[in-house]
Amino acid sequence: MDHKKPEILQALLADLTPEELEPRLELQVFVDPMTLLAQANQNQNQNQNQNQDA
Amino acid sequence: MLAAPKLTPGCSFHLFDNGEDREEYVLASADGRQFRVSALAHRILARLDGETTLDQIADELAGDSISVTPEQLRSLLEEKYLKLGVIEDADAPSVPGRTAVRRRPGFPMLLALPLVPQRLVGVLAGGLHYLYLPALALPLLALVAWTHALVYSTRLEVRGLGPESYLWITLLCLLSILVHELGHAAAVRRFGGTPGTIGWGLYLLLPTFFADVSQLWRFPRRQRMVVDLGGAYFQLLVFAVYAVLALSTGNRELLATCHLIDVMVLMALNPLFHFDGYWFLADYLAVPKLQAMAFRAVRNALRKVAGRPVEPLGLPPMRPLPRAVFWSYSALASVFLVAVGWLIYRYLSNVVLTLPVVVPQAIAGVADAVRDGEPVAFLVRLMTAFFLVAFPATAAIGLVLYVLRLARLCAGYLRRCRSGAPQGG
Repeated sequence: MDHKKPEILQALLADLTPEELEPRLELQVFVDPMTLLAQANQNQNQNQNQNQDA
Repeated sequence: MLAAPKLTPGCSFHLFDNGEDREEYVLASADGRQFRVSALAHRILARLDGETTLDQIADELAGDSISVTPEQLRSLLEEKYLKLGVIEDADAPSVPGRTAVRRRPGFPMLLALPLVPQRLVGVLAGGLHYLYLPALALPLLALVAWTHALVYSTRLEVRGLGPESYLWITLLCLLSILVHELGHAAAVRRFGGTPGTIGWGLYLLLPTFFADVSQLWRFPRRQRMVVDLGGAYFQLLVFAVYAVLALSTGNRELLATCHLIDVMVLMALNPLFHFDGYWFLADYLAVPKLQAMAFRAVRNALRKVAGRPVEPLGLPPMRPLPRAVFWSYSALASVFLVAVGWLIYRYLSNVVLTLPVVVPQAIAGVADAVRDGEPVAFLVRLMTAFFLVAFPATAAIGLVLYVLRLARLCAGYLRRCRSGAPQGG
């Protein structure tokens, strides 16, 4: 048997090394509705002003 | 370790779909951690029944031309598996009444608390998983498309929405997020799994809801991809319900929430952060640590251009389309990584100037609402004040981490330059 060869042992070591799988959390970030709607409001006002100017 | 070691009770093996012909397994430990192991490791570990000795296992392996002595086997098992708690350790002090502790999610989740217990999630998912039946899913998706056409052909007038409207919109959004998480859980149930808890926490400082679907690693990739998209599917069903109600009653809050749901779904499908889109892509490509692999691929490509030696990536075999997707993602993620520091800096430099004015105003608004006895205005203003700080604080943490990462990379590069060693790793 050639088990004394270090390269064979290294290959075995690599093959037997476990890899931890990270916990899987399916995330959803809570978006602040006020910020988004305030932005939408601002955009609407700008569009309206542009239309009036035109 | 004993001469005939034993696998810790509660450990189980599951075939791992790695996208290639090479056989691999998921080793699930009693405390909920999961490890990807080779077929050989599975073969050895599965023999650890407390009766079979390491000598016998070594003899069996020798029969298949795998030459390893019992001592080497013992040493390998002690080094690689004993510390994981998957092999009973005769030398370890026994702790009476010791119970399994599930591994908690780490950074960037600063906080993760259960909101809906696992048992209740299981009951709810058991009732909802029928929505994945093709006979139901296809008409429901058509309904989602039809309601989208209706919503986006209706003008949303956001002016004049008062604090009460904002509170309703917030509650409607929260409900849609909970249904989103139930969508993941129901998909897990659909494929015969047991969904974990639904919880909330802080992703850096951003309030975040989550569904624990860690069991997903044991599923075939196609099923994993369905679970990844299940949240968006369920949330779009909520969109359809809200849209029908909004258009039949003319309710502006419901209509506004429909628009917000689409924003949230698009955010969730963004693969650059660790949200649903990221996991979908990781499962599609069969690359569990997709982001790390993407950066390594770009680094290897740059080293190749510079004529330097590269280490093999270890990617599973890919057809032309997945390969193109992987390289596109790698390029996009790398560009994003470079751009993100600048984007955060620009955002913070704008926000920091306005914060000293806006935050005292927001706090004064909260105090006014308390003084005037207006609970709705109090809640809305409190939420505004929180987000005024939470977003910039999250960006600041992100920027600090980014700079630290860059500094570490530079330090490593300089160290290697000084030592004259080839630059790798």
